[in-house]
Amino acid sequence: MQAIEIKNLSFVYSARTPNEKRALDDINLSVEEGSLVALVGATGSGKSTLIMHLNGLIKPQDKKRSSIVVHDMSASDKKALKKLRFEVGMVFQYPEYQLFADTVAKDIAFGPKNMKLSAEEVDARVRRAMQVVGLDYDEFAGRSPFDLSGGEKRRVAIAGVIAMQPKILVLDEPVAGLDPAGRKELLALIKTLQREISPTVVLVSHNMDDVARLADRVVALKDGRIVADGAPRDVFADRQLVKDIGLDVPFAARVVDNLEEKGISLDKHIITDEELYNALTDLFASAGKLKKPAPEEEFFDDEFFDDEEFFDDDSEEDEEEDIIKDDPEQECTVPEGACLEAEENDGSEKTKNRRKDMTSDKGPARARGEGGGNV
Amino acid sequence: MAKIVVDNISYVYPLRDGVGLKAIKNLSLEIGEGEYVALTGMNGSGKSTLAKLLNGLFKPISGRITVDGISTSDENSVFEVRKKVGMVFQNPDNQTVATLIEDDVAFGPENLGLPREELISRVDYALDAVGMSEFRGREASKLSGGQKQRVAIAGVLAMRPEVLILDEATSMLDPEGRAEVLDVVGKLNKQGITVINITHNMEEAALARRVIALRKGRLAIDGTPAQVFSSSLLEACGLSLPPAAALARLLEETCDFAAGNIIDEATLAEEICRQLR
Amino acid sequence: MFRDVAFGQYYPANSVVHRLDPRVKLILTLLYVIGIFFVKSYFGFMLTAALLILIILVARLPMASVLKSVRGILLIVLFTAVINLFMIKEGDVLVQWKIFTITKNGVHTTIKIVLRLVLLISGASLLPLTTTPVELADGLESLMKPLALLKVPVRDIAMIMSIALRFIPTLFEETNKIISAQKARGASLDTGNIFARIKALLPVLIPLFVNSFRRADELAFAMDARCYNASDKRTKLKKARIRFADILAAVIVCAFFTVILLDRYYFGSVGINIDAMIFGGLL
Repeated sequence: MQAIEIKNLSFVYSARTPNEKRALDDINLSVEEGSLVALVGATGSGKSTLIMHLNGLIKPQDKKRSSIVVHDMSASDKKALKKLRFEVGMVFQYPEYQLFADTVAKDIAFGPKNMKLSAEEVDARVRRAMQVVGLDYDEFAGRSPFDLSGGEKRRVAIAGVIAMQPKILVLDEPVAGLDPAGRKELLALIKTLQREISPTVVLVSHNMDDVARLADRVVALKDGRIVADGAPRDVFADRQLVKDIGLDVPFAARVVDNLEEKGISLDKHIITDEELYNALTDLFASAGKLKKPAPEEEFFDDEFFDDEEFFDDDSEEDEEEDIIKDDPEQECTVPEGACLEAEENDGSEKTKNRRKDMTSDKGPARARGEGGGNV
Repeated sequence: MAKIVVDNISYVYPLRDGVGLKAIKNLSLEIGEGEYVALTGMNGSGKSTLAKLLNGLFKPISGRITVDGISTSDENSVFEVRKKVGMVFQNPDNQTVATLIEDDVAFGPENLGLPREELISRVDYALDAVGMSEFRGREASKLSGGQKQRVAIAGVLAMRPEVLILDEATSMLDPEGRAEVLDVVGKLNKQGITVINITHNMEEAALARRVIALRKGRLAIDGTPAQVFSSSLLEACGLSLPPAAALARLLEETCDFAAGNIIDEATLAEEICRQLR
Repeated sequence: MFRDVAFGQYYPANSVVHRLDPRVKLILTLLYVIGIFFVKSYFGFMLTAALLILIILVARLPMASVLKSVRGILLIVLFTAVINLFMIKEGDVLVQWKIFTITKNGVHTTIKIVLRLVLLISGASLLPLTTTPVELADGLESLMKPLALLKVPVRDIAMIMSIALRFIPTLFEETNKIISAQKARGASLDTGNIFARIKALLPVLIPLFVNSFRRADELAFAMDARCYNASDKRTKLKKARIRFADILAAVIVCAFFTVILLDRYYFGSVGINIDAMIFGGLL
């Protein structure tokens, strides 16, 4: 069944002015339910305009020609607009900049409340969303989202969208700006979200390695047109096309190209690190240069993003419960110029409590350099 | 000769009354003239704090930082330090001051009170150095992310700095913009400008000749990219290997293959080819 | 989208008027506005209109762009016109119907008021139409310079103006993004009574404020890093130069101003006589 069906969609910004720009040019696209589609293309290729059509944030300009149908709802139907927005969850770039409520729980509850759900249902959904994104309810629900670390804020923002339990989830550059640990965890989270909440996922990404690992299908845009559409390995195999679109190929494909220059031919369809590793070990094996048979799981554990092929569900769950601690700078009090060092552990809760105790009875410290602060 | 000397500094972020966050702890290091250093570590490791300490935006609560022998803690000479140590920040939208590109590039030299002829020649030089000369009269808000960051670099170059610090300056850019910026930075380093690139992208860190990793405000690893990527502390720093290095290591485990100092795909391919024969 | 609105009415074109020194344009616009209030005769209004049309033609502006600014005050013009038409009771009565009286004086005054307002607004709109906000800010800064003697922090005010202008498009873009994000979570920003609407705006306003403070913070660092306040004397890259065109423009507008003043105070009846010649018995 098709989750999304777009027909003849065009969109022009600032029509009939000197700044006129054709953002979308006759787009036809169906997204099958249960698939993870990556939308790629250079900045300004029309990706943002396209995804904003999916939940009616932008309405089709030419209502007669174009149609967008999401789970049998027309995106042009004004009455169904709210319903459409709850059906298509949208996580924009840097979603943490849209947090507004004074507690994490209230912020996440915003969507479900707009759905006019009962208080119990709202609460249940908040708890469930927090659990799925890996934020402990007791620890985070009452805290201000503005006091969290960058990675935690992003999780809160994502929880705010999936609390509406949308059947389709659109993620625009969800890992932008995160550090390697944060990236890895959030990428793992995408698969969980798909399994637990939103069966259909549209992922906008500039990172072709992420696309190669996650997506069932790649749709590439250039100047508002779909210029490539297919399984990642087929799209990336056409190196000339990828180059014309202005995209990179995944790391594994770059290695394949480098090897080809040196006279070693590997399959152009190799796009993930795992595939490359397997192909290379085969190569070494046929040259008789193998050490021992490889128990692959162990090796991929640390270095690679965990793919379902290599992990059973249990171990994946464990991963996700390990919250990103982006902000492990230990907090310490500075009573009258002296500096107490916090313990080496990152337990933010523990240090938070400690801090509260210390502040109550000590005067302000001159922590700033300008104060001539000698310690 | 050491350009920047960081001597046993500590820094505490003031949060609320009496509460601070100890971001840098007894850190010492030296950075030589003309070096290309990648400063890395996970979020909250203190790398951005260190950057702000290096040009006197923050002042250490203990210890001392000198640039060409000039202390960053001295109010009278802090502008001398800032002239020498230019800084480009993360968000392209939050560091342009003027609407038009040439006006923005001129902002630094204008602050120095330079004569107009000098301003013009510096703006010309700086825009040319980042390849943005043809854009000079345009509005900065209409540029792409990569172009905005190049303009930000030009704004720093117009002060004729000797050290260029990039504080996660590529983290909000798309791959194209990132490549543009890194290309410009590499060229500037070849012209003799000391570069300190703060990043958590390991492929980017591998471009540097020296990588310094911080962990919880302390120096964790310091060495060539090859040394750093083979350090056992890498994971503890929240860092990952560049993909080529990771793959080489995997191959080493199972095959008759020496990973050596492989950090990029070209060397990886070369080594595979050589070692297969 | 929003950005174009935010950038005011500036109409980009390559014309002599666009290239005039913004300080000259500011002063001449002021002179024109003052001049209009001294216009007494229909002859004076014709002269003003002629000057206006001349400038519009030279500036290569489409008439529509100028009339658009008039459209904004159309209601005020009509309201003033109606009030004047029925309130002025002196002079020969033209129409008398129930309590409504229209006199000859009333008609003349009304026509002149409408002309005055329309010419005033369309004339004043030429300044933003032909000058970018940045040039305007620079011009204002330059004209404010003498105020520094009175300890007015001209430099800081100018900096604030220029930064505000610089951030208008950024903030519009950000507002759009936040609105989209909250709408995507089912927020309704345009239904309900006034209180419901204000409450509904909070999810937009709070992040906007929080982000603005963050931006301000980062901008302050960026400015400090680029040696803001390093020297007492800031120099400027842009140096406006008075060129021949500026002088010519000044001469034309001054001539216009002089003729208007002479018409009102010195020639006395010349303008009125010309009016009579043209309109004859109509007056």
